[in-house]
Amino acid sequence: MKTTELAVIGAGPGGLAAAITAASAGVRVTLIDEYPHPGGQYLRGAAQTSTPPVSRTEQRSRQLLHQLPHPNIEVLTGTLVWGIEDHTLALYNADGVRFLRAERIIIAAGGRERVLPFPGWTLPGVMTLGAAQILAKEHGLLPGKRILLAGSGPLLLAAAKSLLAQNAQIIAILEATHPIAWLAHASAIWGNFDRLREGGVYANVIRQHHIPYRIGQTIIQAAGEEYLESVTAAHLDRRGNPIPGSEEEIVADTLCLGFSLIPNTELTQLAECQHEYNPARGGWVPTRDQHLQTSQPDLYVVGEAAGIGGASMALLEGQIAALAITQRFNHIPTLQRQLRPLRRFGAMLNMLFSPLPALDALADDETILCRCQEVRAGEIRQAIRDGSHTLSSLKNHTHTGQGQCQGRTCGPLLTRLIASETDNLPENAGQFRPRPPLKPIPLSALAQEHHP
Amino acid sequence: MILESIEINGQSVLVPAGQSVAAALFAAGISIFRHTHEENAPRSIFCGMGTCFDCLVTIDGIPNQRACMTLVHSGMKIRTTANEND
Amino acid sequence: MNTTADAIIIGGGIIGASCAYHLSQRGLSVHIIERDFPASGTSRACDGLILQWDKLPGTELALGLASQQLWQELGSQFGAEIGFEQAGTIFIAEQADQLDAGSLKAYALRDAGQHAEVLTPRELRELEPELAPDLAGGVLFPDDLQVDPRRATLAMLAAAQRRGAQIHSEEPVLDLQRAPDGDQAITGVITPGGSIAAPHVICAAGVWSAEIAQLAGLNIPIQPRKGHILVSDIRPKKIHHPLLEGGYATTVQSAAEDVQVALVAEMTASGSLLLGSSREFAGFDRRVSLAVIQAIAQRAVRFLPGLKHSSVIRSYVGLRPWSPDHLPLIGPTSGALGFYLASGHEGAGIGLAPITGKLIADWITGAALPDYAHTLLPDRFESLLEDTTNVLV
Repeated sequence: MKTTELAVIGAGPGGLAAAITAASAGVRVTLIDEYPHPGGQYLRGAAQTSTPPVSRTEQRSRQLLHQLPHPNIEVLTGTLVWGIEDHTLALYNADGVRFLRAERIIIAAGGRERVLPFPGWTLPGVMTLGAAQILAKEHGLLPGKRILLAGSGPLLLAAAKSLLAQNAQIIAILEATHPIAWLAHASAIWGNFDRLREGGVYANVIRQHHIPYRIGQTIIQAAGEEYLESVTAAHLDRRGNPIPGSEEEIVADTLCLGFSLIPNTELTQLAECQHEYNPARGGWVPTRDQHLQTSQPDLYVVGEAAGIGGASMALLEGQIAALAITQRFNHIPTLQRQLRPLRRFGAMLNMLFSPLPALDALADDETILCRCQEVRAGEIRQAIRDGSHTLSSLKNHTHTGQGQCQGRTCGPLLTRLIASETDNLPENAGQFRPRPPLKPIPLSALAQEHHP
Repeated sequence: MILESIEINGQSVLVPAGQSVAAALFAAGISIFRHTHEENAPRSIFCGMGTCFDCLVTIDGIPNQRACMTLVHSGMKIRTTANEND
Repeated sequence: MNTTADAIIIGGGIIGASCAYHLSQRGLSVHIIERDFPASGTSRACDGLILQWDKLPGTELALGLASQQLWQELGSQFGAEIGFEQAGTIFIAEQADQLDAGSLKAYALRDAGQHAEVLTPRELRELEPELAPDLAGGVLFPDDLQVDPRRATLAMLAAAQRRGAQIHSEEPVLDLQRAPDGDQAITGVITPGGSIAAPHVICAAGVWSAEIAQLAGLNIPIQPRKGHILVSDIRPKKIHHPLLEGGYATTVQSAAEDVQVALVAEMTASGSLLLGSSREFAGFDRRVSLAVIQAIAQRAVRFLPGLKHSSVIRSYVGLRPWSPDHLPLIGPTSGALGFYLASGHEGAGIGLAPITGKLIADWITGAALPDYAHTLLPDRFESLLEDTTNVLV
């Protein structure tokens, strides 16, 4: 079996910062990313773009990307980490399955978007903000002709900018958070100049294109035969309930949605790291010490996979973990000081943009909740009422979580549903337990180990 | 821009090298990738980053491949759901 | 909660469900105490095959055949609700000596009244075109059955509930109640919700039975025997019968320390394949092993080359309650009056659930018992009454 000194899983800003910091100190690093190109979601399309960076963070991230190839870094793109057993990583790519033993591991697996279900959300034409952004940024394509953006959080603006760069026709941007919530968090918003400036860039672009940015509104229904044809927007009251009589039907062929990000914790769960539920970090996150080491020795997590906080946080955390691994502790306190305001800002964003429980009622009993297994909200609500109060129990009584996505899409939604139906804390619903393979692997590859 | 020749549902198409299969399909005007097993409901790109498993198509005869995570290569044969078994 | 009942069943898996079903059918009031939720243990982590050819002639086979009969009745009663199917199974022989072994099983089962048909390689491939072309042949056992273990558990529990049985979920057993003097008989259970008194307390706690039995001062030799199942993506129908490689029967009877892998392939209702199997002693470790995933995949692709492009989409581990003589422990014990065991079925729990429930009900109601019932009594293990420290491996 091949061995490496340091395996970095995920080549977004956090992983890049970790890999290059360690490599610069002479460590032999293996940098692994599932996508055929490094850069993570944050830098999709960065290699071919001529657009100037929107922030210092993006600029630094691009600089890191340009340091590849690096003599001390073996880059394995298009490579999935599908299992982890102690310090052995199970890998899969076009060459097949192989195993890699890593003395130390830094997980930088990022986050994924959360979309709250409502009638019609499974129609083609309804996608995440990130999906639309990738089509635009990386492929220079528009997802459709009449585009609506909805959800909550800064990604709404970033996605709008990427789409407008391709001359998208954006009908409106609907931010679900109520104006009152913005006021409540106003003082904390001033915490991060770079992010504010980034926000200013987005605000400018939207203003220049005269795109309506409506706060306190969301999409409550999508309609169409085989493809999206129209959506229904509504105003929300302070509790997040649609206000009767405020509904407005809008003709659209594309609806891009996103309600914040969820940390990708499958790897840390599979590695049996301790986790805690922290809403200020986006939900379930692995616990870490001051050097970002998890409860498993020599296993570190950086960036969104340990708490949603943006690329700026990931850059710093990647450095901290790599410095800790290379025993260069004296540089760490400076970075930790820089991290603190970013953590506060990130926490504020997560709390501000956290969708209110009322939004879970948008899904009627006919709405599909588990997309893979096509399980409807009604069946799930009944199972909860019948006593299924954990994700594990729901998986047993319905078929949720048993499909190809292994609960990545529905897990966060089910947690919210259980919490509101049982009037209980979200963490009491537990988590889906990941098992290898974390994503589907062909039997032929499993049957035949590739020895490079 | 380098172009590559691929096949989508039996038709030859030229696409930019390095494009994702999902993007290539969208560019070719195909936005419904498959129909679900239970309800025969149409699905397409959803998360765009390989976590939702909605965008599954058949590539070079192998079914259930994520279009958003696969880049096209010259000669690739892509089939969306209605045409899987041709 | 302070209540009384005729019988308390500890464990809401398929064995507990069957005990509840039979006892309530005979008019007894039953409480089922389940520390998680029904079918949350091994009953949801197994396949649903009900075989006879992996059983040794004698008590094991007699038990299996009696249970098969009862499953047929349950199948008529519940049918599709429990995913009941007389799917038959095919024993696949990789080499000639395995075919000989399979043929011997065929004869033994025919003697016992079961159907069995030895297949040439050509006949095997006619039945299962997806199989590799280089096999020595096989044996078809058309009487073998298949159910959905979880749905069967829930159906039997629901039937018991309709006759008044009560299920307490998320309710662990904290202790057993004992008579204050005299024979110190077990008289009930204590849970966080209170206590229930009953003259008959049945331990159907699967791999956790040793833990429960300790409360009764008993040292039962049931140990977890870990198994893996891989789930494939949905494909157009590939196999028509559950398929098991010949070596499977050997692994069932084996008590070897190292991990034993033998292919078991079974279609699910949705069209995905369940692929097993593995056996090893690993305590209560439920982590899925990367090496075992590979080993099962190797066997799967060897026998079903068409699976090459199918993917494994998930996997899980189940813990079989293993007993040293490969027979379950069913019935009362002199070590604790009022306490009954219904556990230790290893990989035959689903198949033997109905007969287990019936035997327990027979013991409790004083009904006539079949001859082999006495060979299943827990007291056959001399170590039963020994010091209960260091019981768990």
